[in-house]
Amino acid sequence: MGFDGDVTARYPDEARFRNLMLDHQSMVFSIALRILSDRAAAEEAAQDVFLELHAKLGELASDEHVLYWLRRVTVHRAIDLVRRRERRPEVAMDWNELPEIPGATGDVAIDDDAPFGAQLQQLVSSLPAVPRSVLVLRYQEDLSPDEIGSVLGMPVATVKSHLQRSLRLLREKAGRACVRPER
Amino acid sequence: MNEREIYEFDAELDQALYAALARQPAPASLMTRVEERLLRVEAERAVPTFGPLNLGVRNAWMSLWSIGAHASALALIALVVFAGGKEIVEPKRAAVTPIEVRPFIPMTAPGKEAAGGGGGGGAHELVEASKGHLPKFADKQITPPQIIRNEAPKLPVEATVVMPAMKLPDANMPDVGLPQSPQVALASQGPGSGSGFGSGKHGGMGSGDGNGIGPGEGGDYGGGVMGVGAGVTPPVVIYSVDPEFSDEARRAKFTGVCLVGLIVDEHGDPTHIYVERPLGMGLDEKAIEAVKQYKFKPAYYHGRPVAVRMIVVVNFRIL
Repeated sequence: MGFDGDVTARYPDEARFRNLMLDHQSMVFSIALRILSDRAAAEEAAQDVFLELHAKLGELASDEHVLYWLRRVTVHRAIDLVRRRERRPEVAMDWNELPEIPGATGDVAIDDDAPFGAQLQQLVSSLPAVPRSVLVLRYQEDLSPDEIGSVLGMPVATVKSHLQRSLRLLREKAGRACVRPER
Repeated sequence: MNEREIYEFDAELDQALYAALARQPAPASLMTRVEERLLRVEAERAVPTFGPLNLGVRNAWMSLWSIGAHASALALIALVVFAGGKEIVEPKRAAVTPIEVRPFIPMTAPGKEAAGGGGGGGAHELVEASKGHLPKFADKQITPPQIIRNEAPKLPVEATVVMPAMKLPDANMPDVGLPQSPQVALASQGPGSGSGFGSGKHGGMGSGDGNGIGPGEGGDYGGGVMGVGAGVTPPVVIYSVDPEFSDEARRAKFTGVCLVGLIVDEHGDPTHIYVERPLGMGLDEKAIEAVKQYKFKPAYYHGRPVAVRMIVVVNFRIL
């Protein structure tokens, strides 16, 4: 067993950890980035997630388990950071009302000159942390509502409600801003 | 929008969201940063482990190897302790070197200025200078003091040291030597050079440099720049500044301690500033810049301010 001064090359499990990091670093970073909307904070969160993975790797038997674990830990850690940043207590969602969204009156500063994709990203960033996480897992990771519910630890019905409401909001905001997808 | 338009828009929105929320590539530094943090965590662990991720039944070969390694280490320690040399090497201290000046405390009234000057000598001998009485004091030195080997010289000249007329502690011994030396077995001038007695040079008596007496330099009597202790009170910092970080160290979040040596003169000003133990990353220069601005209450010896050598610890830390 060679030792080249690099801790990840010292042990066989370290080689596994290195390969997992290579395979999933984009996923972890991207989820954190979409939820936090801050590259530096997303990189810091991604580092913390992988350090935690290194500690827990012995308990994760399969690579599918690792993938599920990474998504779950990344989303929860990013949501925690958002809440800590905003210093808002968690309020239970009232399904009969639209969620409180900054700029829900239509005053969100959307750059009209930006491409539609960039404007959508801005709109998604304006959503609260939990609905934003649902959208990211749906459209970035292409997970089904069942899988999203499992990752976030919430009922499937709640996941579907988040998706419907978020899409309705995006449609309304996109409509107010008079933006349409490029054809 | 009507229902059909809403349906079409939603389909387009769906596709657009997939594109807008596509995965972003991770920064190139992410893996390196994770590995650096893992190395740091490893280094901070008190007990090294061979297999941190190996859980379960302990390997028998690992147990044997561990027992063998421990037994070898214990045997080596026992060998060194019981069969090795008895010489104890004192740890090298980074503090001020104390100079014993009590034997040279003059029995005269204190002057207005600080004392200076000194002398030293020897003859490259292995044994320290032998105990004896001081030679005659004179304004000039023609012959330095030495062990008499020619008892009938053709042109006898009395050996002297350059000293003013003063009374110094002396030894009641038949031969010339160092009054404070404990060595009485062998006649020796000591390991210094230039004749004279002691570990110094240039024909005087003591550890200094010159044809006088004492640990200073330039003849006459005295200790030059003094050290704290033996009646010399230490200087006290009355004004200091925090050192600045260099850009290199700030970017690397590098912290540490730099030892700066200096002489605090009799006015309390720092002089002869140098780096005793460097830290690197451009912080040595910043430490010197900071110490240059320090102000001290000077050291005192018998009620008079004197110049002393000291070490200042400059601590670079990120708060």
